[in-house]
Amino acid sequence: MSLEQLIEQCKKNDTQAQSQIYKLFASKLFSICLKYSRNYAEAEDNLQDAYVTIFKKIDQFKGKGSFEGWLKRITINTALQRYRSVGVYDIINEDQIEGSVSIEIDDDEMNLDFLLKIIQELPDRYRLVFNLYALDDYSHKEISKMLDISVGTSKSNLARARLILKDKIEEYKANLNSQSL
Amino acid sequence: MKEKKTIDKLFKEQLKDFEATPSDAVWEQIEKELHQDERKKRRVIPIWWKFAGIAAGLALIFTIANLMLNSSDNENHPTNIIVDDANTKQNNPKNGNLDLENQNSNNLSSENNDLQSVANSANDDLEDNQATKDKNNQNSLTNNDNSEDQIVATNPNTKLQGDDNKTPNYSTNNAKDESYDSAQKLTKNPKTSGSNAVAQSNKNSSSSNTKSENGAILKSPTEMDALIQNTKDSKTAVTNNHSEKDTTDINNPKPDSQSTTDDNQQDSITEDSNAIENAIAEAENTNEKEKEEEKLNRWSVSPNVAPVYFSSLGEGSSIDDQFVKNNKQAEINMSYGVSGSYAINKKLKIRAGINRVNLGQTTNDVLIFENNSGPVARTSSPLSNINMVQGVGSHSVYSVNNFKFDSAPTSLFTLEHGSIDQQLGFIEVPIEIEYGLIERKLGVNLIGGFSTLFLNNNDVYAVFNSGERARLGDASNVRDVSYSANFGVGLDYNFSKQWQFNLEPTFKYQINTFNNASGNFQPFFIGVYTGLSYKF
Repeated sequence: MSLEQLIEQCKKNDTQAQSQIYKLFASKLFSICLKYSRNYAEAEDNLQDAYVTIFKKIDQFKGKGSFEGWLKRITINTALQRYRSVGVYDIINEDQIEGSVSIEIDDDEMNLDFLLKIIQELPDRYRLVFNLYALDDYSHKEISKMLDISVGTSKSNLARARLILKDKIEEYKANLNSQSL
Repeated sequence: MKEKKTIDKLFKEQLKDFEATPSDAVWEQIEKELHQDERKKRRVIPIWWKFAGIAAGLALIFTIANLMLNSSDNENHPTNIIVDDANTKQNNPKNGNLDLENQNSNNLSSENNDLQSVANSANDDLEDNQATKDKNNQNSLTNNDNSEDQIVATNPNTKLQGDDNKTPNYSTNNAKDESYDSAQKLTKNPKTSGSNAVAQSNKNSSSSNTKSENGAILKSPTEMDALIQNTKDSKTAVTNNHSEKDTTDINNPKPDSQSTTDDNQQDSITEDSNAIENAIAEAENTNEKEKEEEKLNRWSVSPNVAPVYFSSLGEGSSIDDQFVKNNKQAEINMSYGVSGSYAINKKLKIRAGINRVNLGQTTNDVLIFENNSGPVARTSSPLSNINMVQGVGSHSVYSVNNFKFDSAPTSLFTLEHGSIDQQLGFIEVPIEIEYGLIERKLGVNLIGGFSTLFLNNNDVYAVFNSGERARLGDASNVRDVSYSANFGVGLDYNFSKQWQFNLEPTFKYQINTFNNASGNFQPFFIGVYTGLSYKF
């Protein structure tokens, strides 16, 4: 059955088709959930909520644009809804930190689970902004709308997130080096 | 190899192809949640049934209330109508052309004047009064003519009723005169039939006679003619004088010698007033009916919704021979649409519409196997009337009745039984005739007709006991166009002249929807059609 046929069947609330759609996209969407959530358990909750929304609203998907893109947007939105309202204290003056933060790194050194872990450990808003901007290519303007914050706050949150991540990676590298020595 | 890169780039590259498989529990939760929703949805419809029940109850209350109201209505009629008469009289006095309707109303009113004399105290304007007086004179002449005719003929011209425009007026006269006559018979002047009017006028006679006659002569030539005609018969002449005097009395309510005689007359007549009022009421009723008919709003449009219940008269299955004996469960679905009607006459309406209707039936006690995992291989003969979906994830379905405990593997009986859910959607185009049994504020109709059904949705699902649904395919034996015969009883409640609430339980017998059903499958559906109609 083609994807279009599956979608049509999902619109008729056919469990079989829903299951197939779920299987097709679960791992992709779950990776999004993992990045946007605080931990594995919450990621699963978000994935579940996202899929329920997807199947309830599948009527609204009219075949314009990519289905996968539509699924991703719903998944991201689900996560945003959960964490958006959680406030973050902006301790740092927004003007002071902008621009990119670089780090010297060997690709082999990096472990995916570690990267994921430090993303998840970011304060909620920093994590959302970092994900949206750095990984999913949203602009600060879009982010400011999605999270209901100012563009300045978005930039500041991003910079702060980068700094935290850099610190953690360097700490990690230091640990690795000390262990190997 | 060490490389300097931004944090953003680092994460993006590393996480680019990152995928993770969630635990199976997630899907189970999702399914549960979606399924929960479905259960809720199904519960909505029975609530709707309750509303239909409430509506029916309300309709009953309205009927009773209406019957009670109607009886009190009748009592109120006479007073209303007398006021009406006064109005028509006052509205038309300047109209030189004395058509029959004017005569009629004036006849009535002249009587009223006699009876209630100055109850119409609204007669302030002298000119108007003069004019009315003229007419009253004239009319009373014709009136007397009529009554005289009647007296001669002794039976009223009821045959003439409904012939044309003029006849109701005549009948009014007749009815009035008759009752006037009979009423007079009841008075204490028991003279012979022909001289009722005379009996009255005799009382007054004397000086007023000449006076009023003079007055009459001064007036219009038509009146003169009438007078001349009347004077041929002395009795009517006297009557004429009498009534003329009356009207002059009313219009010039100065205390003089006339008024005393008039008083006498009034005394005698007020005794009859009830009888006459009733007669007038009767006459007016026929008028009202006539008017109503003229105003009949022929067109109406009504959007409607209905819970529909789909089932079969005989034991059978539309799906396959093996399910003939299986327990079937009717589903309650919704139908909605709009219809327009045209009233041929007051009783008979013809109407047509377009409805969307979904029908569903569940066949219970079936075993469902997923073909890629099930223990039973696909049989060479799948369900005879279903075009099965092919490929991975397709299903085989068997009636439980096919298996005997001693011959089948025990694993079969550890499986839970599922069901087959057949969903059909039609665009229905009904053409029906509605015959009104009761036409009041609350009406009752009989409805009969047929519908053309155009198939627009055709699905068959396997439903597992867990509530999971999988599409099996579509039914191959449903005709794209089929027909149904419809019978129903309609209740309607009129809020206003234009708005009406309808409740129509209708039985629709599907004639040729399935071209190859098993067993004695005779599908029908029942809908309780509820709607609002707007007449124009």
